Amino acid sequence: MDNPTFFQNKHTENPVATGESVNIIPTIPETSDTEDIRPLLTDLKFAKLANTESFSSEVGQHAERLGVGLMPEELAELDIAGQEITAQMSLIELKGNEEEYLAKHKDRQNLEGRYTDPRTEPKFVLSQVEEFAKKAGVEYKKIPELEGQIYSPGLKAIISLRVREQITAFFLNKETGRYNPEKHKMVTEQTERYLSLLEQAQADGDIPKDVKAEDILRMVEENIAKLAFQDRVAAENLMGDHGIRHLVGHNITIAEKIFDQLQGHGQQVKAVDRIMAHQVMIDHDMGYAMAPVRDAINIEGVKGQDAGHNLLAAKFISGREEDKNGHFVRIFSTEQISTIHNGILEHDSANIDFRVGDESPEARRTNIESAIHLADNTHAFEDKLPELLYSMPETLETMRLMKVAGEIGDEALIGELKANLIDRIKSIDTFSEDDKEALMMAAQSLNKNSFKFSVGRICGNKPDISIDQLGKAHVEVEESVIHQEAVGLFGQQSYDQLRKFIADLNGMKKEQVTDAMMNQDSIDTEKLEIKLRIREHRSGEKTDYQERIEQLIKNEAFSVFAIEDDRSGAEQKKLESLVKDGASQETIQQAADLMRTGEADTREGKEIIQKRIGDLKDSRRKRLREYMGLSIQ
Amino acid sequence: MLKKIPESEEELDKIRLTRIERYQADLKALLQKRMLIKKEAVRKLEQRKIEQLKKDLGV
Repeated sequence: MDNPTFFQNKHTENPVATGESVNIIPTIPETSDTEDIRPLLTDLKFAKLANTESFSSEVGQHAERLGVGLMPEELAELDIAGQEITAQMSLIELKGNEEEYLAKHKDRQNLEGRYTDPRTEPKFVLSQVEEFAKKAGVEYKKIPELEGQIYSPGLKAIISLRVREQITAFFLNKETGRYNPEKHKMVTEQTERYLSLLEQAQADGDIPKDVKAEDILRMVEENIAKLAFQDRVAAENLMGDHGIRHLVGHNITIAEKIFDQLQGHGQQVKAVDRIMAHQVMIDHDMGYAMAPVRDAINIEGVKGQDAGHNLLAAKFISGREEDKNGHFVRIFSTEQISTIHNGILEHDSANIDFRVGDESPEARRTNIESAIHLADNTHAFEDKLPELLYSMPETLETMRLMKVAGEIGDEALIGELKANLIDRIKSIDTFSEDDKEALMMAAQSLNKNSFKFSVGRICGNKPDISIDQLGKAHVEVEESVIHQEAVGLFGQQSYDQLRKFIADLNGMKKEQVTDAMMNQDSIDTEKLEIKLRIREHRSGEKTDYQERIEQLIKNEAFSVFAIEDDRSGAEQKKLESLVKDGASQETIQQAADLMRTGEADTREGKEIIQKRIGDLKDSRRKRLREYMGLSIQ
Repeated sequence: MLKKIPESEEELDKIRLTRIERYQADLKALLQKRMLIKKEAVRKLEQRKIEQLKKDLGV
């Protein structure tokens, strides 16, 4: 905590409590430099501390001293005024946290621009989500039985029935929606769980006892639509998945598992803690789906436009806090919204610090945050692959062929490969029209380098995660049996994604993960142990996805093509680097001498190498065209 | 019609500072509002005490 000015004022002399004039707001400096605005941000960050004591308690002390009292209606009025001020201060605190994030990540390309872009305003984002829902035929109609009613088990069943229809419209809809029974099942189960947790939290008094059934319906409907929307956007590009597989299949599932384990060790985990974790996971990647990020990626490809996406998602939550008539503030308290907001803003942090045997509210909050960080950082492998590669493993073949076409500089062949893949997408009748549209967008964005960001993920599958009785997290990762073959196919290094995984979990850079660390059985720190089951320690079991990739890799024609091309590709790369990187004349000469046709061959070394590169490209082109069944030109 | 998206670093910094100034002003106003509400409640209590004393003294 760097010199929190407001915090100090609060504890040295509280101007509110003393009734003196408020002079704690520092003068705004003329420069916007990060260091200079830090005290201002700290004021915002600790805004709520000015209002920790309730009015009735403060005034009650005066009443006791004077021996007179206020009327009950006067006290009630004071409480309402106090609650309103608390909510407004809480909003300032959320905004202060967002500004602090922005100040810390100012270097992330044009994050400020995206943050202030009107298309990242919550109302605009929600209108896009609703428009998407409408296309799938989802309409939000009131249910007469819910009108004015308090949420109860009987009404939960009615809500469940209604939202199940919507989940079906989103995920089992070949005409106007998506078609994916696996995702349909995941969202249905998550929704049922969320509704049950709300019921429990209501009974615990952690959400209002008199919460309206209509507000619960709106909350759940909106969550489902946001999940479906994010899943659609994720399918359009070649980034690691940010759709249902990530949000629900991994993150929510893992967070729940972590909470079960903490509970198993006697640590208190309330239903509302789990709800908050669900809500964080549902919303944490909304930034990717917002127009300035989504459109830029779809037009330009992935070029860092997603940097700082946490901030955009957090802005979405502070916008809900701002909407005083919305269901979000009627269900969640300001403190809960603050937990959700912070969980989203820092969702990819490496800070893991589970508490066991600590019943304080701070311990519960730390556990929620640690569960979010651990869940999000452990989704890195096979089921995080982009939708195109996950739903159509044959994309791996296209990527390999595209690598050749790119390296020989044949744009026409790249176009042809894309066209072939698009034809394949169109022919798959288990996809809906909308699925096809999204996947075709992803296929269009493929290029010669696309494999670099995906293939490494075929490294392992779901890691095993457990928390011991002392609160230490244990993560066990097993190497996929096809990892070596998959990376070998593209000439990539083994375990690159595993290094990134270790780095993310330990708050390091990938380059800081040494070979010595990779050679250990486990990487052990005070709060986290990562066990590696790689090389001879892997089990050899295959997932369905790995079976499908294996079939592709072991296809004789493809493997022969890949092996032969690999030789030519490696030679081409070596010779190109000689010419391009300005190797010494002597080195070039030595290399060229090996290729001379005889003593009569008096060409310049560089000329010989260029000729060889040209020949290699020609032979690779010929082989590729042959493999693709095209005429050899 | 969407607003023009600012492009230059200076323009963005200016917007950012204006935003922070607005939050500061909001916070200041809230603290003052809180203080006034509390003062008013205490004033009511003191008035009530005076009335009670007057009554006790038969003034």
